[in-house]
Amino acid sequence: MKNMIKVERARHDLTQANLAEKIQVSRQTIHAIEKGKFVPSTILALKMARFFNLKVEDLFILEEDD
Amino acid sequence: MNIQVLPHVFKKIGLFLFIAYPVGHFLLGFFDPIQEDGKSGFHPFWSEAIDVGALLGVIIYFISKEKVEDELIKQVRLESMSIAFLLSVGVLLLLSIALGGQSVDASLMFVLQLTLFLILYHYRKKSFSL
Repeated sequence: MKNMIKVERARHDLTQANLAEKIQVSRQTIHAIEKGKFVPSTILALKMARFFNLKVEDLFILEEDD
Repeated sequence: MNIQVLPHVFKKIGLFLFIAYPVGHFLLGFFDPIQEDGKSGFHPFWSEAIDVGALLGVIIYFISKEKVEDELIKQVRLESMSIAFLLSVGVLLLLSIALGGQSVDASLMFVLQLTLFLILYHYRKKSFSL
């Protein structure tokens, strides 16, 4: 699964730390999600989508091998 | 279920207690007025107190919150615990073979498991940092 968090973060001019603070997780968590090392829970995915005013499937995109 | 109930500052206290155990035990050996029958000259309370202190330290460390307690850290904690459990079972198996079926001290296994957990948790946590 790939995600558009880095792109959206750049669009909103936010650092990893800023975004982490807004959705109450650690900066490491944002970094791990962006790098694809960690798949967030539904709750966190929904929180992020709501924050960026997007649908979850616009922020997280399934790939062929998923 | 969230069992991390203590504030973050307790992490350092727990770690200090855990590290103080081997150091304390080592230092105690120098001052031990060993008796003629080879037994320790200290009252058993002191060596027991150090053992209990170390285990208490890990428990305090385990139930203390991280600076930011989120789902990633919970997953890292669970994975570290699972790997530490599997590795300690592996060590137990190897020791049983090496000792020819003799039983292994349970408290030694606990200390091994807890130490493995602490090391794995530390390095897995670091692996997610930039």
